[in-house]
Amino acid sequence: MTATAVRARGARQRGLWATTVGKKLLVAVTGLGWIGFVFVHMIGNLKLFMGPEGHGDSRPALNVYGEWLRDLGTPALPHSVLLWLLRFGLLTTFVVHVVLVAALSWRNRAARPQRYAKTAHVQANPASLMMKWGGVTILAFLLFHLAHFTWGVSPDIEFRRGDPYGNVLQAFYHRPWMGAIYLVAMIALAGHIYHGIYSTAQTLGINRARREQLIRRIATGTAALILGGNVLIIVGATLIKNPGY
Amino acid sequence: MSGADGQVRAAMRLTLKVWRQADRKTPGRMVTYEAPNVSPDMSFLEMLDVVNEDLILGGDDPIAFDHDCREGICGSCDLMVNGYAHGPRRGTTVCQLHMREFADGDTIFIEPWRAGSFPVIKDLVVDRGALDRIVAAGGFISVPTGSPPDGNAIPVPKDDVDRAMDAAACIGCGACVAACPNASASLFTGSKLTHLASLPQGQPERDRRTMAMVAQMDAEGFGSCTNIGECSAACPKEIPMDVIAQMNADVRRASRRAR
Ligand code: HEM
Ligand code: FES
Repeated sequence: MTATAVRARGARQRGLWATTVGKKLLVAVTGLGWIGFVFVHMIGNLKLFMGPEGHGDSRPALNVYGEWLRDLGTPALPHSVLLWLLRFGLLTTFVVHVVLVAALSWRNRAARPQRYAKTAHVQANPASLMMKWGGVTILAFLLFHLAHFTWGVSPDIEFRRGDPYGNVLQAFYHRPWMGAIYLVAMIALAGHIYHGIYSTAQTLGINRARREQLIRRIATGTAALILGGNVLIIVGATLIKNPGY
Repeated sequence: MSGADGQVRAAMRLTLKVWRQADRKTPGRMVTYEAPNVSPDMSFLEMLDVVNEDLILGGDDPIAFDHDCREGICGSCDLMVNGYAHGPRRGTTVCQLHMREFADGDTIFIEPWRAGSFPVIKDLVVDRGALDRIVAAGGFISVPTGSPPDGNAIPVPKDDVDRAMDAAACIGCGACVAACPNASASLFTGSKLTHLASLPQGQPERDRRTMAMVAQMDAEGFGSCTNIGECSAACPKEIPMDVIAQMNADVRRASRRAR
């Protein structure tokens, strides 16, 4: 038996998760989960526009929503427990996504040890070629964003726990450079989501030639919706002192 | 010079940058050649033949490249031309590419398929045995041979036949691997799998075949698919991306049913 035949037999016996196809399946499922999160997160943050007294009481709707998140699952569960479980799930899926992507990317590099002297692309869209670097941008942004508004360790604002509305306005109001950082990240995210959705349709095996256009449209629509909503938040917080007031 | 239509076209002067490599072990390099008298009516391989005649007359080693039918059906020819697998014209093997695609004074890069799984044998000739081994792992139907069965003995829906035939158009040239930024063989493997999975004759061994061919594809060291689509765009038979989706779906089906 040749060396590759032995390796192939090993892979066959170890089954789905040993194949590149199985690993890619996990990348797709975790990626889809995160698209869901990113969408819900955007809906939540659009409450910025409900202003400092969104629900008619003296508290900003964004803060009320934040408190509601911590209250999820009560009284069945203690305060914040469900939120922590959700966070743990998000972290786990993110780590699975990134670790598998790193392993597959490593493999892909090794699959072409000698590069071409001249390369060209026939139809590849920039989003598809940028998945790795777009992903790294998202990862860097995520850490920056958490430091800013979740951990409150960024020195540029006076962080107040329980007051996301105030924190966001401190960070963005009349500070276009901050908006620019967020804008770059949101563009990277939109590109990643666009190709991610198309790629997922392939990975899950649901794409067919006759569905190709429909899937491309769903991908464009989802990416545009998430980009649009997030840009609205960035622009709103940059220009308006008390959005929704 | 006069073409097949009797029209006279001016000869072109081209500069070629060609990968030369003596054998598997010796490192290769790009070498520049002048091709001063190229007819626009020549095929790309005829152009190389003419360059080789000059090299031989000058006592040099001719440029080795793979070819056989020169009709776009055998899948032997395999040149990376200016970064495009089989050259810039879509749906065309490099043996069917004509020099009228280029302009007088052009510089043309000619390289072998680049993939760790396709080692260079000499110059532009690579070893594509990895693709044969993927097929040998299960890309066939085990039936006792004998006299051919009656036509239409097994009815097959038209859509299924069309899909099987589109996938079966694969000539195994390896352009998909060469064009893929990840050097993945997913379009090739997906074509072979879709071809048989679309037909009743392919059903009994479907799960076994899928897992065996995918495992072989991985074991050969090809990259994994990120659905960029360069493979399908480079494919001289224009095989669609959905054969990869079919492969992915069948891998899940096979592992579900194995439990
Ligand atoms: C909010 C965060 C993220 C979302 C919503 C997301 C979403 C997705 C989706 C849906 C896919 C397609 C899955 C497939 O078919 O395999 C994908 C693939 C990928 N992701 Fe992410 N991802 C995120 C973060 C990241 C990060 C941080 C990285 C890198 C550090 C990354 C790198 C990649 C790469 C390289 C691929 C494979 C390329 C491809 O399939 O075309 N992603 N992502
Ligand atoms: S030589 Fe047969 S396809 Fe090109």
